[in-house]
This record gives sequence, C-alpha cells and structure tokens, in this order.
Amino acid sequence: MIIKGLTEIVGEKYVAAQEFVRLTYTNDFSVSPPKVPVAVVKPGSTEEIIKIMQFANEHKIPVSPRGGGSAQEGGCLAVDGGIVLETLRLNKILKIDEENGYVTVEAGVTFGRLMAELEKRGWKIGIAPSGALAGTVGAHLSRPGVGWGNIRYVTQGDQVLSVRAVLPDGTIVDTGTRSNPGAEPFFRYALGPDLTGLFIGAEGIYGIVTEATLRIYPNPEKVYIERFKVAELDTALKIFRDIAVQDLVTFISAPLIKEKDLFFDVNIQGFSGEVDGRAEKVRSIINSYPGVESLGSEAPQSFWPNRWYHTGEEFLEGIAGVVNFFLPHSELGAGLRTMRQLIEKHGIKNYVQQLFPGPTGAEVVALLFHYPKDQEEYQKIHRAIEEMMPKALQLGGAPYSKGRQWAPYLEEQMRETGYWSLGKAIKKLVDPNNIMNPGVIGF
Amino acid sequence: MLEKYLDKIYNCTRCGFCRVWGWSGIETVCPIYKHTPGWETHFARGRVKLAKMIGEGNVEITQEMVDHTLLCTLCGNCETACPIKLPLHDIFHAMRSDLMEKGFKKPDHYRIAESIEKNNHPFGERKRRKYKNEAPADGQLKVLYYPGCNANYNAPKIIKHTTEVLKKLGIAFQVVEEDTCCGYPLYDSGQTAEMKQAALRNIEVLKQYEPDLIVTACPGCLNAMKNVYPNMLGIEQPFKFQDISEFLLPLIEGKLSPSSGVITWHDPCVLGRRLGIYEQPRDILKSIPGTTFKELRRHHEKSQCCGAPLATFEEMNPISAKVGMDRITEAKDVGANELITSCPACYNNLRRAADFTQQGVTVKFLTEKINEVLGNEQSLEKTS
Repeated sequence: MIIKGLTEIVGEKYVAAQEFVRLTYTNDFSVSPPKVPVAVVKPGSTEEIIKIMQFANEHKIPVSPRGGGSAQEGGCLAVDGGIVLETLRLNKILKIDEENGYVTVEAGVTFGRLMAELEKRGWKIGIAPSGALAGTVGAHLSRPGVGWGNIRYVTQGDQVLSVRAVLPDGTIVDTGTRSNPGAEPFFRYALGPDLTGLFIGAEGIYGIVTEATLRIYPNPEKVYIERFKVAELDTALKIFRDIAVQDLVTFISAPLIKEKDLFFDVNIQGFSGEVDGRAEKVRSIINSYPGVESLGSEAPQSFWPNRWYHTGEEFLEGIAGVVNFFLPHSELGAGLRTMRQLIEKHGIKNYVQQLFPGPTGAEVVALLFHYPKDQEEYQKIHRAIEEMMPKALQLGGAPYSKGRQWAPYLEEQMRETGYWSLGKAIKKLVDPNNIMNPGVIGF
Repeated sequence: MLEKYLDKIYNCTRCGFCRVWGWSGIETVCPIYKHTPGWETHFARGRVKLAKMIGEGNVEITQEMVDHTLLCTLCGNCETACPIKLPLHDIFHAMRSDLMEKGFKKPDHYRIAESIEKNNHPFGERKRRKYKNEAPADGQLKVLYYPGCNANYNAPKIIKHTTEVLKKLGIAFQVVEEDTCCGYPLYDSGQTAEMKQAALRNIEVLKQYEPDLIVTACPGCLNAMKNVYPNMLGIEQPFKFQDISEFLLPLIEGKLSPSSGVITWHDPCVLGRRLGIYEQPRDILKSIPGTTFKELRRHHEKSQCCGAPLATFEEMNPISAKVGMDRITEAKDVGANELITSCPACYNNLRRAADFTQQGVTVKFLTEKINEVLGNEQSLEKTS
C-alpha cells in the first residue's frame, strides 16, 4: 500500500522498495543504531512533498526527512514502519537576488554547489558546514547549522530570511515577508511572530523545509589566515573570548583541543585594509598573553583553496560517536574538562576534543573514534556519550543537533519547562498523528 | 575477494563526500550518479554498504542489485574524494568479481569470455586488418608495439597513426601480429579466473617476440600486463612496458611542426589514476608550436570518466552517452576545438559523444595528433 501510494505521487523511478536499496539508508554519519526504512522516496518538488505528506498523514506513516545523510545524531534515520524522504532532488538554486542581497534555494541544494554559483557572481554565504560538499541547505538550517564563519555570522539559522515548509497535513507555510502572497522573501521579522524560527533547529519535527532564502555577502577581497600555538588551554580560551566578543574575525578553528600546546587558526575576511586592521588588532590581543607563538600564514593559507576537500581527514581514526553542544565562553574550560574526564573514565582509546568559537560562546565537540569491528570500544563509546549528554545539559549546555541521540536527555532535563510544554503543544497541533520525524528532539 | 577488504570497508564513515561536490568545478564525483535516479547505490557510499553486506554474506543478492553495481565504471574518482582514502576501486572490483563468481553474469560477460577464449579477442567473429613485420636487425632495441584488441577491432586508425609516428621517428619496431588479448575486459567485468587464462596465453605469444620493450597505446592493456598480472593474478612476466606517451616524449623534442587552435587532454581513468601517467601526454601536446593547451575543468587525478566502460562498441549505453557528452561539453567550455586522449575506449566513446553533441569539438588520439605535426623526414611505409 505504501509503495503503491508513493509511486502514484513521484513515479516508480523515485520510490525504492527493494531491500538492497533500503539497506543503504539505515545510517547517517553517526554511531546511532541502524534502522531500515519501509521505503525511500525522492520527491522532485514541493508539490510532490505535499502529496506525500497528505498520504503519510492519512495512513499514519512516519516520515524521516533526509538531506545528504551526513549528520551525526541519527536525526534522519527511519523509525519502525516509517519511510525516509530524501530531499536531494530538490536541487535548484531558484534565485540569486543581487539587488536585494539574498539567495533562494531548494532544500536539497548542497553547499558546495551553492557556494560555487555565488562565487561566480562575486558573492558568498555566511556559514557553511565543514561537510559542505555533501551537506544540504535544508538539513543544515534544521540543525540549526554552525560552521565556518560562525563568529561573524553565528549560525545558518541567523542567515535565513524565509523558509517554505510543508506541514504534516500538506499545508504550505511561507515565512517572513514571503508569507504575504506575492511578496519577496527579503525580511524575516515581519507580519507577526517569527515563524521561520519554528523550523530552524527543529530537525523536521514540525514539517519539511522545501525552500530557504539566505542572506548573501560580497565575496571577500582578502582572506587572511594565521596559525598560532598556545602553551596553555586557559590562555587559549581567553584569547578566543577576547577575539570573538570584539567581533574581530570571521571564525576561529581549533580542531584539536588539549591542555597544553594547542594550535588554532584565525580567519579574517573582508576588504583589504579592513582585514589588515583586524589582523593587527587580533595579533595585539594574542601577543598580550604569555606562551603564544605565531606559526605564520603559509600553511593555513595554502590549505584554504582546498579547504572543502580535506575536512574529514580526522576520520582516518575511525567512526566517531559525537557529543556536540554549545557553552558560553565563561564555561568553556569547565565544560571541556568535564567532558574529558568522562571520556577518560570510560577508557576511550582514541578521541579528540574540538572547539569552534562563536560570538557569545562556542561549539564544544568530542569525537570518540572506534573501528567498527571493535564492538567492545563501540559499547564503551555508547556508555560514555550516554553520560556526557546529560552532563552537558546540567552544565547549561545546548546540543547542536539533537537527533534521536539527545532526545531522552532533553526530555529529562526540560520536561517541566514552559518551553517544553509549548514545543510539545505545537507538535501536537501541527502533527496530531506524530508522523513527522518522530522521536527527534523529544517533543 | 571482498572478505579481505572488510576491515577497510568497515571504516567508511558515510560522510558522503563521494556523492556530489558542486564546488571547484566538480559537479559530481561519480560520473554516473547524476544520470541515475540517484539512490545511495548509485554512488560509492551505498556501494560500499553493498560490498559490506555481500562480503559478510548477509544480504539476498538480486539481479537488480547486481545491475546497480555494474553501473560503476571503476573509474576510481571516488577514491580521490574519500577523506579517509579507502581503496574504493579495488573494493568495487572485488565486489564485481565476487558477484561474477556467484554466477551473476550477464549475457555480455559470457560472450566476451567465450570470444576471448576462442578468438583471442572479445569481439566475436569480426575481422580486422593484419600487419606485416620486418625482422628486427641484430643489435637493435627490440620494441614491440602492442595495439590491443580495442584498437585492432574498433579503431584501427590508432594503429595506423601510431605505426606512422614510430616510423617517422626511425624506430625499428614490430607490431603484435596475432590476436592476443591481455584479458583486461575480463578484469573489468570481474571475471578474474578467466582473465588469468587469457593472461597466460598472452604472455606466451609475447615471449615469441623476445621484446626488450613493449609499448602500448591502450591503458587497459598496460595496466593489465604491468599491474594486474603480478599484483592480482600472481603471474610473473619478464617484460618491460611503456605507455606510448612515455616512449615518445623524449623522442619528439624539436620535431613537431606548428599547428593552431586550442587543444585539451582527457585523462583516461586507467592511464591517470591507475598508472599515474599524467604529465607525459601533456608535455607532448604543450610542445606543439602554435597551439594553445588548456586543461579541462576536471583533470589529473580528479578527471572525469568518459563513460566508455558502460558501452559496447556496437551500442552506446544511454548513460555512457550522457557521461561522454558531459566531457565533450567540458572541452567546449574551455574553448577547445580538439580533445585529445590516448585510450581506445575513451577515444571511441568520446568520438561518438562528440558526434551527438555537435559542439564543434573533434576527438583525436594522441598519436593521431602527433602524426599530424611530426616532421616528414622519414618516408612513410604503408602498413598493409
């Protein structure tokens, strides 16, 4: 019945019922347990998604939306009896509006393609994930999307002017100024509450984002990158805070956080004179701290043109269980050390901690590697991250992607709050049959 | 065979970089992905998952599953995209071999294998031109030109130009006269046991010539004899090999006459990613006075497959046609009026694609181009 219904909507070519295809949609980029969907469907338009949702709603079929399938918290995996809806055919860049400074894309457009198209015209987007070549715009803003550029531009959510979303009953919602029929999506906060925000960070629980409008910026005249070595972690954290709260750089990358002898890159983008001035100010801040050494620009600058090819080489160490959350600058030292203690308590053989500072805090990442044949290590990693996630919440942290991995801990921590009640009430209102990515976040 | 790759297969992180990039001029990593419905099984990540399940023996193998895996051209481009450097070409080849061993052969597979066993070439009852050799003089380097079945039966023009170039350069050489197949079509289709038999027969033929050096203008033949025989089949052979570009580069210096136009180079997947030969053909083309050499958008190790492995000589597969036309469009986009390559399979597929697209791009074989511009000091001796 499911296959017949989906086939009538998108055609036989874009419905996979064969076991061997469904078995390749059981995982994302995480250690979440695999789940086999009943079918995978690849709609090619918002109209087809409306029909799929109406069909799924009528028959109470759970729908898990999936973009590039490269997130790390299990948010795009199927649930029992459910289907996976892959958005990769929604791959059109609909409008690059250079007059008004925004781009409207379909949800399945990958960042690699979007950035390339914008670059040709002298524009760029604010934020791109490190997995930009595989990741899609719709999935990223649904997480809510941090990445390279996050001191200047914060999150992908902050770049969004409008989304078009399909609710579980098939209703189309345009947000921002586009909610006024016929109007352009040029401004987000208009015509009432910010309903755009309902879909940002929501990981598809309220509906499927099918189009998004993002701000664009002039491609920088100059990109300056300098690498530094710092003797002490606490010094590094103070430097990150000083640079970030003063809004001096586009982003800071610290992909390997240790207690001693850390490295980090500062990335400054803008007009030539502006970049030089910012670099001077950054250096004066950094040099005011002890135990800091500049390693120059040559290595990171030579990496820059190939930057999107080489993100992911850390996974030479195996597949990673990921605990990834935000903390304010003031809590980073305690947060990093608490996470490290838990990782070591569980005897994890191979892990890295990373830090990606934003303007008011940072993304704290722990990657716990294992080779999949090592089931003992796999079980240890699961036990470790099950202890790290509630601890992160108790520290005042906020998970980046929630997926299904964080859901039970979020509910435990948040269930008595008005936020949780409202979130659940909205979920019940828009999705009374609980078919939209059920189990994600916990609403 | 897959069993020995399982440890590697398990390490796939499922990052998806092997699907699409869209950045830096690279639209898709897998040449066929965009011409399919685009399921996971149509690019490397899903194929790795299939390899895992087949290797572990815990999936029901269906003909449709096999058909999805056979859409892979084994071009190896996904290896260049893989951040953790999985040996994807070898994994996918092992998967194909395992599937063939399990009996999932297509009629074409049987036809090729039977023809190679019976006729010493994969093209059935077709006829070809014969070559007449002169006995090499004593003391001369014994150069043996190995044209390969594809040139012999599908593109004899390659042999004409290659032999003319060798003659113009005053090289004393012989051409392999007999039908003898290196076995590469069997390797490509995963018929490893059958390839070993072909390889042993081939070596016996070549030994009769007692060559000091075997020169090929077919990357498949070269890869088979130089790499696959010793490394995969465990066959020792006594020969030294060179690709035609390696052989000619030091010999043509200062001998090319002026030409004009914009030329570009299509890296055959096997010549580049498998054999590591990138610069010699470029150096030859760049040395032609008066011409402008331009790189295609995707070149060197990131070069895009031409689609030929999906085609047969008689019939272009619809996907092989589209993949080939993608490449012709790239040539047009860089302003080239000639696209040069040096693999008979690429040459044939791209020529057909150029005919389809009618974009004003002419496809030429490397030795065809060299022959055009090589001085005519030596008199030509016509091959008969």
